[in-house]
Amino acid sequence: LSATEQEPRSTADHGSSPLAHQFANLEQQQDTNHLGMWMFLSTEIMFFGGMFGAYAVYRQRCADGFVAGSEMLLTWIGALNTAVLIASSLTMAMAVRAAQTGKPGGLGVFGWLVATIILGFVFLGIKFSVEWPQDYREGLIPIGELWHPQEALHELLEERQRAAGIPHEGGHETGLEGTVPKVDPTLVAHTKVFYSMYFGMTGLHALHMIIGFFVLGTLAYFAWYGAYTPKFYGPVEVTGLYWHFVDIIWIFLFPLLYLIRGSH
Amino acid sequence: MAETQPAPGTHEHGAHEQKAHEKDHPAGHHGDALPQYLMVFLALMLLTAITVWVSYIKFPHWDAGHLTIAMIVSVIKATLVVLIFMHVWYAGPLVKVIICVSLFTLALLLGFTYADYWSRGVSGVGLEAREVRLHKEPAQKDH
Repeated sequence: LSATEQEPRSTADHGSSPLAHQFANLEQQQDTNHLGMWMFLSTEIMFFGGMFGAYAVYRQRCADGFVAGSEMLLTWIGALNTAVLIASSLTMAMAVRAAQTGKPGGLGVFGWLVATIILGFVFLGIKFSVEWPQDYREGLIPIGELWHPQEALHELLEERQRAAGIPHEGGHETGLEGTVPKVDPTLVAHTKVFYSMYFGMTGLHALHMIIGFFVLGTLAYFAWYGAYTPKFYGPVEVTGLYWHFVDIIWIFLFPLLYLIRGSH
Repeated sequence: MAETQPAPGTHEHGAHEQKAHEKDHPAGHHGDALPQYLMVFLALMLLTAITVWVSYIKFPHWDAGHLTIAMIVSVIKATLVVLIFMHVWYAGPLVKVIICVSLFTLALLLGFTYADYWSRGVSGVGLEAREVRLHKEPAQKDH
């Protein structure tokens, strides 16, 4: 039993061929897959585009909260995750290249796919194990009781004053033991809008990555049995398109969420 | 897992397929897209470092400075990914048209939405934003 016979796209007509019966030849099949993925990605552009539109409007409306919220995020984590995701795009491109050329060497299709999955896990691992717990501790999760950002905001405002060389002014009246520091409620509300956008957009991005893991895992399974060859590498290529798209979304999210700086 | 690779030129569709692949990848079948991929990877890393670095610079006379530079850098990064990693540079016209149409539609959606918010001043954006803020001020004082 040769490896290609396990290819799931085989049909009765073509026996061991990966060619589905509605296509004239592999090239046409490949072009169709490719076009279908681009159509899907164009709907994804509109999907994320709506969120970026909401972001633009609220960033204007709640400018102070967006600056404060962004300054409370850990820039180095965002930067590290950007690097990890760019690296996973490179390994994905290498997986497609390995399937396309069929040349041995490097990690092979299977190896590059696994590397891509590992880098994706690193990205989400950093988010789930470092970043979100930190947000939880500081009360920056904008849901019910989990939202109590006053202390973190107070600290941020004090830090800004120190940086500007302004002596500490009258914070003591509210600095009593066991009380919540007094922070302008409008700033608190605006910061909540920022964190809602932040969790909404990064959450949707993370969901796309999780879906990507299932697809990449399936590809890796078939790649292990040598299903992808220079004649038939369409599934690897279109999954690559999806994965790079998810990377592009993050390329925009990173500066829009982590790098907002005010003029103070 | 690599035992199924055919030698170049043994394809069923012969010259036709070969030509299509050349269109897809200028370096041909032997795929020396590798140096190109590494260059793009390094450029993306460098541009990321630049965006982070710019965020620490202060622009006292340019409020939108950080946003403008960050967006220019992000558009360059996205373009590199689309053209090289997603092979659009070598793709046929159909894919390019789909991308342009969807970006154009997105621009229409965002442009008109934003123009609407701006011209009405709803949501504190644009023309009436100042009045909205002034109106809010007394309410903030009584706590």
